Amino acid sequence: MKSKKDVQQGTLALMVLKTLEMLGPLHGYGIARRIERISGDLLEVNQGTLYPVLLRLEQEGAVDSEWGPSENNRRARFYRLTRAGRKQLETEKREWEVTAAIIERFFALKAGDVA
Amino acid sequence: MRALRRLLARVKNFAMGRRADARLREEMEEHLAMQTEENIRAGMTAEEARRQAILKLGASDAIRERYHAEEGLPLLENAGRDVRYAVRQLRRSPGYAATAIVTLALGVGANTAIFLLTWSIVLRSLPVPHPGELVRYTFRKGEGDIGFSFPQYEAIKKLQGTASGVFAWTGGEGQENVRQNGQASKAYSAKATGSVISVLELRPVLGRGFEADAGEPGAAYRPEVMLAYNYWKTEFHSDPAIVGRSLDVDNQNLTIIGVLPRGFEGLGPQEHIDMLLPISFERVLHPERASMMDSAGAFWLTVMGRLRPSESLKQAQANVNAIRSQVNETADPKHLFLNGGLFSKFELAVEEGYAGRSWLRWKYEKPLVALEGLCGLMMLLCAVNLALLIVSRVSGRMHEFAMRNALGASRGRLMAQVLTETLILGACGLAGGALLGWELAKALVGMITDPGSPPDLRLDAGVEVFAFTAAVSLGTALAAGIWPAWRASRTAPAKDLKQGLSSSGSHRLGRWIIPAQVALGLVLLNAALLMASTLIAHMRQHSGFDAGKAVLGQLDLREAGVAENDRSARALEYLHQLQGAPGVQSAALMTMVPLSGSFGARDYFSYDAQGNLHVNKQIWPEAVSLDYFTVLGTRILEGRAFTAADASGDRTCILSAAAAAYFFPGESPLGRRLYGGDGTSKPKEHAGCQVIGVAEDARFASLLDPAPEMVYSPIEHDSELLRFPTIAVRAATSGLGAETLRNVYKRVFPGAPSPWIERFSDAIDYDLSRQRLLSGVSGGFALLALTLVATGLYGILGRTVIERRREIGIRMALGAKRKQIVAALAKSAALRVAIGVVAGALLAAAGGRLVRSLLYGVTPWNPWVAIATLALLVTVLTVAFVFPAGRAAAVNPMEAIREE
Repeated sequence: MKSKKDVQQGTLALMVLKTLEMLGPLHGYGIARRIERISGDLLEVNQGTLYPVLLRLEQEGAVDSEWGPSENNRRARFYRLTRAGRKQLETEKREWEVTAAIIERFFALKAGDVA
Repeated sequence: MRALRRLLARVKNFAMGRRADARLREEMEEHLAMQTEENIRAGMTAEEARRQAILKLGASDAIRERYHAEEGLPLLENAGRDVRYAVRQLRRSPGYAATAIVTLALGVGANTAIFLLTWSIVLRSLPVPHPGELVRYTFRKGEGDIGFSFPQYEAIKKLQGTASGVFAWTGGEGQENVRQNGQASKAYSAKATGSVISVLELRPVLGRGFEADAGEPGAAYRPEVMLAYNYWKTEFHSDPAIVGRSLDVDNQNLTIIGVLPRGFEGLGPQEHIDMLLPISFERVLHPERASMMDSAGAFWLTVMGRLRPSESLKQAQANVNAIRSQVNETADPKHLFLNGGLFSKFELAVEEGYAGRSWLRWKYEKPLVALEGLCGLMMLLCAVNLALLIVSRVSGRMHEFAMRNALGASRGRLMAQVLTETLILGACGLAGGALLGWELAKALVGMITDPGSPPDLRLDAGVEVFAFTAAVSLGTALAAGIWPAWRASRTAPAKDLKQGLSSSGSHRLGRWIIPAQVALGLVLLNAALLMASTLIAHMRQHSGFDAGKAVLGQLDLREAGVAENDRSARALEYLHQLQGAPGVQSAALMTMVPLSGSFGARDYFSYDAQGNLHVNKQIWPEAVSLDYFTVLGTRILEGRAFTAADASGDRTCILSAAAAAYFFPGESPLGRRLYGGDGTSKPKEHAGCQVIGVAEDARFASLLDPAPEMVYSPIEHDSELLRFPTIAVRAATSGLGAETLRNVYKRVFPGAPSPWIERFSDAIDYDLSRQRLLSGVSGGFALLALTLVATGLYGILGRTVIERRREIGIRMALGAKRKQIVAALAKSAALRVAIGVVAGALLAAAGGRLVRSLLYGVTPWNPWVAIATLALLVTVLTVAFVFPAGRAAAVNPMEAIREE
C-alpha cells in the first residue's frame, strides 16, 4: 500500500513539471506560489516539502537548476525543465488522463448500466 | 532508466561525501524572504509576515532531513555510522570484546583446521576438466584396496563398456636419479600408460603428451618424459625451448616431449610428481622385474577411467558386476591368484574418481567426517556462548536502547545496531580463526604424515576454504546475535527507562542455554574420552614388540652400488661392523620393516603328529639375523632363538605362536618340520626347516591389524630377500643408535646416500597416527567445550545473582538462611544440568553409530566412559557454581533492599 506521503510526492512532482512547462525557468518560491494558486486550499502541503521533490527530479534528470538573480536582486536557484523532463511530463500526463478517465467512467456507472 | 540515473547521482554524492546543505539553506532563506515580502505587501507587520512565512514553509529540520534522505544513500550512511559506533562501544568494553572474539576464534579456528584437512584430503577434485566424470576401479577386500596388476588393467580396458578410456598409473615409489649438465639430482616420478593424457584431458602447456598406446603391450617403447609444471618452472626456469631437449633419468636418455598442465601433480593430495614417464620405462629400467610386472598377482597399479557423457556411475557399477568374473578369467587364466588362491576374496568394483586415489583419503576420510561432526557441535556451543555474552550485554544496555527508542530510533535501527556489533565481532573472530586454523592445520598435517618421507600433504587454502570459514564465523555471529538484537528492539521505554537492570533476562535465558550447553559439552567430552580409550587400548595391547630405544634403518644396496649377487654378503658385513661399533648393544637385519603396512605371503605346509596335512597360503616369511628377537623385543615362548650354528647346516625356523597353533595344533612344534609349498607334492626327507622355537605373536604389519602367522628363518638361508634389507639397532640412546648406524654405513658403503632412519617408537606413533589425530583433536575440543560450558554456567548464574539481589535480600530479611539461598540456586541449576545431561545422552546415542567404526577396545556405550564423562562434567560445573553461589550467600539484606 502506498503511504499518503508517497501519493503527495508523486502528485507534487507532476505539478512541478507542469508548472515549469508552462512558465519556464522558475525558483522554488515561484513554483510553490503557482501550485498554491491553482490548487487553492485543496492541497495542504508545507511549501518546504517542495525542495526534496525538486532534488529528486534533478537527480532523475527531469529538471536542471542554476543560480540566477531573483526579482529583488538576490541570488535564487532557478529550475528549468529538461528534454527528459518534458518527455516524462508527457508520459505521466497521458497515464494520468487514462487513469482519470477510467475512474470517471467507473463512478459514472449506475446499477443496471452493465448487464 | 530514471531510477538508475538517480541511483548513480546518489552513489556519487555518497561516495564524495557531498552535502548540498548550504544550497538548501540558501534556497529556503530566499523562499522565506520572498514570502515575507509578499505577506508585508498583503498588509502584515514585518514580524507577523516572517512568522507566517516560516509556518507556511514547515518544519525546516524535517525538510532538511528528508532532503538528505533523497540526496545520498541513507542506508549505507547509517551502516557506516553503526560500524563506527559499534567499534567505539566495543573498545569501551575490551573484556567483553576479547571474550567474544576469543570464543569465536577458537571455534572458527578448529573448524577451519579440520575443514582445511577435509577439503585437501577428501573433497578436493583433481585439477583436470570435468573431474565428476572420472571413475576409479578398486580391487578390495573390506576397507583395503590394493590396486591392480597389469593383466587386470588390460582385461578391464578390453572388457569394460562405460568409460571412453582407462589408464593405469603407478607413483610414489621413491625417486629417480636425474642428471643434467653434469649435475645429479633427485626427482619424484609417476609412470602411466599413454591413455592418461586423453582420459584426464591433460592439455600440455608446452609440447605434446604421450601417444595413446604408450606403455601398452605391443607398442614400441619411446624414451620420452613429460615434466610437471612446477618442476619445469624451478629446475628449468620455465624454459620455453625445453621441448625436444634430452634428460638423463636413471642413466636412460629421455626426450622431453611436453610440460604437464599447471597444478596437476599426481592422483592424490600427497603426490607431488616432478615428471611423468611411460609405464614401459619400468621394464626398461628393471628388466629383472619384468615377470613381476606381467604377473596377475602383483598389484601395483591405479586404474581410472572417464565415463562417457551418457553413462552414470550406477551404470558403470552394473557393467563392472557383469564383467567381474570375465576380467579375472582373462587376467589370470591359470587361476593362480584371482580365481582361488590368495586374492580370491578381493573384488573388482568401481567408484567415483574425482579425487583420484590417495592413501591419505583412504586412511583419514572416516576420522575427518567424524571430526567434522564434532566441529559442528563445537561451533554450536560457541554460538550458544556467544549468544549468552551478547544477551547479557544487551540486557545491560537496555537503558540505552530505551533512550534511543524514545529519541526516535526505529526498532529496525536498534536491531541493526546490535547486529552490526556482532558482525564486527564475527569479522574479528574470522581473522583470528583463519590464522589459528591455518597453524592448527599445519600441526595436524605434521601429525598424520610420516616424519621420514618428504612427499607429504600440501595444504591448499583456496577460495572454498575461505568461503567456508567466512560463512561459519559470520553465520555463527549472526545466529548468536539475532535473538539479542530482537530483544533490544523490543525495548519498552516506559519500563526500561525506569528500571536500571532488566530483571528477567538471564533467569529466563538460563532455562534454555544451560541445558543446551551441558548437552553439547557432554557429547564432545564423551567422544573425546572414547577416542582416548581407543588410543590407550591400541597402545596397551600386546604388540609383540618392545620398541625401547631401538632405531630402524632402511638400506638400499642397489643405490649403494652393490652388485646383485654380492648383496647378502655386504649386508652381513655391515651388520658385523655395526655390532662391533662402540655403544651398540645389539643389531639385527631383517627383510621387511615392521609396521610398514606392507605384507608378504608364502605357502607352507606341515604334517601334525597324526599325519594330518595342514596347508596355509598366507604365511608371512621373515628372514632375520641371529639377534633379531633381542633387538625388536619379541619374546621366545618355547624352545630357543637362533644361534650362530643356525647360519649353516640344517635349515631351522621359528614360528609365531599363531603359526605354531595352526601347523601343529595341540602339540609341541619343537623339532618338527615345516615345508614350503602348497602340500600337493610329498616333501623330501630333509626338505623344509626344523622348528626350533616359538615366538610370541607380533603385529608386524600394523598395530591396528591382528598379528599375522609368521615363519622366521635365518637370513643366511634367504639371501634373495636382502635386496632392500632393514636394519635395527639398539644403543644406550636412540640418537647414538641412529648416529652409529649412519656412520658405519658410510664406512662400509663409501659414497652411498644415507639410509632412511627412524626411531622404532616413532614408527609406532605413526602407525597410530589416525588414532592420535582423533584423540588429540577431540581432546582439544573437549577441553574447549568444558571451558565454554563452565564459563557459560558461571556467567548465567553470576548475572542471575546480580539481577535477583533484591529478591535474595528480601528473602534473607524474611528469615531465609544463607544455606537455603544457595540450595535454591543449586536446585534450579541442577535441574537444568540434568535436562542437559539427558539431552546430551540422547544426542551421543544418535552419534554413536558415526564413530563406532573408529573405536577399538571400547563401544559407544561404555559405562566407564559414561561415568568418567559425567564425573568430569559435574566437577567442572561445580567449580563454576561455587563463585556465584558464594556471591549470593554474601548478599547483605539491608544493603540489597535499600538499593534501588
